[in-house]
Amino acid sequence: MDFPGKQKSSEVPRGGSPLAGAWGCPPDLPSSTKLDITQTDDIPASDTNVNEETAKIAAFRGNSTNPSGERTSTTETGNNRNQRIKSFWMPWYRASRTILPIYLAVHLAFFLITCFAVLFVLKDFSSQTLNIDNWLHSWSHWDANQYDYIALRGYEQWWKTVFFPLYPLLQRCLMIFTHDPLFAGLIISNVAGLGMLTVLYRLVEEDFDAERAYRAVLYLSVFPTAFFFAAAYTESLFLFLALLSFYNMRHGHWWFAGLLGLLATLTRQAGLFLLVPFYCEYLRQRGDFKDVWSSTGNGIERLLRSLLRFDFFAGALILVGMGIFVVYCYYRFHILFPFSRAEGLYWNRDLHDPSWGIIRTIQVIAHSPGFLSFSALRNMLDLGQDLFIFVLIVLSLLGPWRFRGAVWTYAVYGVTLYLCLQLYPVRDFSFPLQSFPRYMLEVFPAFIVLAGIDQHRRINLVYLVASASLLFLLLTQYVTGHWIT
Amino acid sequence: MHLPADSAHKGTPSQSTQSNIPSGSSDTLVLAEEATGDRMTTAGDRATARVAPTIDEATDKLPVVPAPSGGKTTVAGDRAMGEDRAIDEATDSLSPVAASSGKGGRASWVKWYEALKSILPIYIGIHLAFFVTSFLSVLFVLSDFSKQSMPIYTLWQSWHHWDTGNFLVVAVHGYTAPNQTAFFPLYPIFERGLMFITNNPFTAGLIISDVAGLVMLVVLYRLVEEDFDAERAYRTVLYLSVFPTAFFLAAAYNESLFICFALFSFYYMRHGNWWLAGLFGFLATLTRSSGLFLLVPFCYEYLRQHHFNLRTIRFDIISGLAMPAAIGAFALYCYFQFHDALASLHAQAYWHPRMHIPGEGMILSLRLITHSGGLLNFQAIHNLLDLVPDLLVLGLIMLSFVGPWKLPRNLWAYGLYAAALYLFFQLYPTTGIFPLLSVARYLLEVFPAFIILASLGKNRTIHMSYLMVSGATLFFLLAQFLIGRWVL
Repeated sequence: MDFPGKQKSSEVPRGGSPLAGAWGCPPDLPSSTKLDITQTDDIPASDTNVNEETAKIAAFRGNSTNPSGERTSTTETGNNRNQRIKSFWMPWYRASRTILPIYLAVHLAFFLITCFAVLFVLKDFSSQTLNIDNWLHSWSHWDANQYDYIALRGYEQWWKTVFFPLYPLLQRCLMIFTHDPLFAGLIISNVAGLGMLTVLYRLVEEDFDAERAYRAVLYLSVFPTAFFFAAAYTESLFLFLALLSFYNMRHGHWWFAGLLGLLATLTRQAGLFLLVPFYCEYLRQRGDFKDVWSSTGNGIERLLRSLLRFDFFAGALILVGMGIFVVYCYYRFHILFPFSRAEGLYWNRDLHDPSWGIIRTIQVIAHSPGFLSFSALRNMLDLGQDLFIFVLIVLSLLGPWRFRGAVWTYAVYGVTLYLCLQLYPVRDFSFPLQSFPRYMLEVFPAFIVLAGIDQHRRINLVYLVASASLLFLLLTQYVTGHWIT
Repeated sequence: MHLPADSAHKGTPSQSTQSNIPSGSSDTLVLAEEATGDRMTTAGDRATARVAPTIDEATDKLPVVPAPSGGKTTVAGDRAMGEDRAIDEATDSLSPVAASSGKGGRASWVKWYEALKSILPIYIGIHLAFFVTSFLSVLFVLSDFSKQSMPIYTLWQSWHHWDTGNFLVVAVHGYTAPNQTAFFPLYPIFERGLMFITNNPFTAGLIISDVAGLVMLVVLYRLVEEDFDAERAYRTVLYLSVFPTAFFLAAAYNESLFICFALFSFYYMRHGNWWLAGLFGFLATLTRSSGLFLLVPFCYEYLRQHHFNLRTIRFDIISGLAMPAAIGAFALYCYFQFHDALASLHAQAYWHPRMHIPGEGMILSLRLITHSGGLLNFQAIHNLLDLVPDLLVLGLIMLSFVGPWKLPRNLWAYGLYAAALYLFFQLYPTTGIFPLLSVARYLLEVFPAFIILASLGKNRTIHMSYLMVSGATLFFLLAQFLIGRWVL
C-alpha cells in the first residue's frame, strides 16, 4: 500500500496549516476556495453566510494563514465571539437539517411497520385488538432485554459483561425521567442515531463533497440491519461516538478524539480499533517525513521529534476506556477480561482466521435441507451482507474508487475493523456469521465508498430498493419476535 | 437530460424529413414539405410561447396554424411543454410514409431506447427486491430453527393467490359461469395464447404482467418526458413502482397490461394519432372495464387539438367509439354465451352491490376504523391501508386542478382522466367491513396522480418520506401476499 498522503503532508510547510491536505484538495489550493465549492454545492437557502462559515472553519482549524485569521486576532470583542459561536454551530445545524428528511422518513416507515406487523400476529379477519403497549414492547427483543436488565440491576453475572457499560449506564440515568429502561434505551438510540447521521454527513462533506455525504447517510440508513439504530441496541450510540472521535482526529483535536474514543470503547469493544486510525492520522498530520529514507539518520530523528509530543498520549485514552471496565470487572468478579471469556463460553466466538466464517457459512448453506429452509436463508442473509461490505472494503483499497490522498485513514479503519470482526465468528455449526450484518453497520467507510461509486443512478437505485426491501422485511421479523441478532 | 442531444439530432429538419420519404409519388413529397413547413412554424411559435408568461395565455394568444392538405391544426402553446413534441407530431402526421419507410422511425426509436435505459434501473431494482422478498417470505412460514425446507417452486407459486386463480380458470376453460365475466377477457386470452409456449397458464400470466409492466414504465416515461420534463418522468416512474400495491403489477393480475394499453392510448391521444389511440383504448377496455374512461381524455384532447371548434371535427373522431365498442363486444359475447348481455355487470354486483355517493365509502371506512376498538386491530389496519392511499390520490387529483402544482390548461386531459377514474372507483364501495376493498390496487391505474406527486417530489423531504413510507408498505404487503394472507 502506498501512502499518497505522506508526500502531501510533507509538502506543507511546518508553520502553516497542519491540515491543508486533509480536505481532499491539493495543499497548494487555498482552503477557502475548496470550502466554497463544497458548501454552495447543494444546500438549500441560507447560503448568505458562506463566507462567515469559511472564516469560522479556518478559525476552528487554528489556521492563521487564512485571511480570516487576521480578523480573529485583531477584534476580539464579545460580539465577534458570539458570531464565532454561531458560526461554529451553523454547519452542524445545516447538516442536521439536510439529513433530517432521511431520518424522519426512515422513522416514519419504522413506525408504520411496527403498526402493520400486528397483521402477522393476528389471524386474518380476527376481531382481536392488541394493547397499545404492544407497540413499544415489540421493539424489546434479544439483546435489548439484556441491556434493560443491566440498566435495572447492574451486572449480576460475570458473563453479562459482554454487554459494555456505557449504554446501560445512560439508560439508568434517563430512567429518572422515564422509569422504563426500554423507553430510555429507545430515546438514547434514536437521539444518538440522529447525531450519528449528522456527524457522518459533516465528516464526508468536509473530506469529500455534500452530495456524497448525503448519499452516504442515505445508504447507511437503509442498510438491511439499520433498524438496530432505532432499536434499544448500542449500535447508534457507538457509531455516534466513533464518528465524532474520527471527526476530531481529522481536525487534529487529539484530546477530544481520545476522550470520545474512550467513551466509544466503553460502549462497545470495537471502539478499541479506533486506536489504528488515531495513530495513522497522527502520523499523517504530525509526521515530518522529510528525508527519512536518506542514510544520514537525521530524518528519522526529526520524524520522532515531530511525533513525540504530549498529544501523542491522547490515543492512550482509548485504552483507558477498556482499562476502566477491566478494573471494574476485576473488582466485581475477580476475573480478568471476563467479557472475552464469556464470548468464548456462551457465544461460542473463537479466534479463527478471517475467512473461516465465510467458508463455514458456505458449507452450512450447502449442507442445509434446501435453499428455502431457515438455516440456508439466514446464512445467506448473513453471508450476503458480509460479502457486500467486504467488496466495498476491497474497493476502498483498489480500483477507481479507492481512498486516495489524505483520506487513506478511512481505508485503514475500514480494513482494520472488518478484519478484526471477521476474526471472531461463531464456532458451532449452524450460524457462523451470526450478528455480523449488524456489526457491518459499524464499518462506516464502506458506505462512503458506496456513495462514491455511483455517479449514475443505476447502482444507487438497485442498492436502495433491494436493501430497503430487506430492511423492512427484517424489521418485520424483528418486531414479530423472530430470531434476528 | 436528453433534450439538447435530441434537438441537435434534428438540427436540419427539412433534410431529415426528406430522407424519410421513399422515392414514391410526388404526392407524398408535397405532404412532406407541408409537414416540414408546419414544423418550422411551430418552432417559431415555440420560441414565442417560451417568452409568453404562462402557457395558458400562450395558448390563447398564438395563432392556429392550419395545414392545408393534412387537415391538421396545430396549437403552438401545446408544444411549449415538450420540446420534442412538434417534431414528433410532424413525423406522426407523416406516419403512413414514415412507418412504411422504416428509416424514418430512427429518431423516435432512439428516444424509446433512451427511455428504456432510464427506467431500467428502477425496474430491475424493484424486481430484484421482489425476488428477494419471495425468498425471505419463507421465513414467515417456517418457525425459527425449524429443520424443514420448502420446495424451490415455492418461489413462484407463492405469487399464486386470490384473483390470480380466477384469471387462470378463464384462461384454461373459458367462461363457464356468468359470475366469471367480472374478469375481463383480454388478459386470460393472452395467457391462453402464451400457454402454447409455457404450457402453464400461471407462468404465462407472470410473463405477460412483467413484460407489460416494463413496457408500461417506458411509455409512462416517454409521455411525461414529452409533456413535462425528464426529471419528473423519472420520478413518476419511481413513485408508481413503489406505490404500496405496486407488486400487483408483477403478479399475475391484469393491472399492468391495462395500464400499459391505457398509457399507449393516452400517448397517441397527445400526439393526435386518433386511430392508434382508439385501438389501444379498445384493448385497454377489453382488459379492464375502467378502460371506458379513456373516453373522457379522448374527447377533451380531440376537442382541444381542434381548438374547441366543432367545424374542424373530422371523421377520425369516430375512433373514440372504440372504447364503448370493446364493452359492446364483450357484452355480445356474454349474450351468446349466457344469454345475458349484462352478465359482467351482474357479476360485479356481487362485490359492489349498489352505487353510493362518492365519499361514502371513505366515511364508512373511517367509521369502521374508529369503531374497531383500537389501532392494532386487523380491521383498523386494513381499513387504514385502503383509506390512506385513497386520500393521498384524492389530494393529488385536487392538486392537479388547484394550487401551485396545477396542470396547465393544455394538459387537462391528465386531470380529467384521473378524476373520472377516481370517481368511478368511489362510486361502488363494497359492503362488509372493508368498504374500500381493492381500491388501493385500482389506484395504480390513476397514473396522472403520480405525475403530480413527482412535481411535489422536488422537495427532498416529500421525496424521501414518500419513498420510505410507501416502500415499507409495499414490501410489507408483498410479504403478506406471498404467504397467502388476505391482501386487498
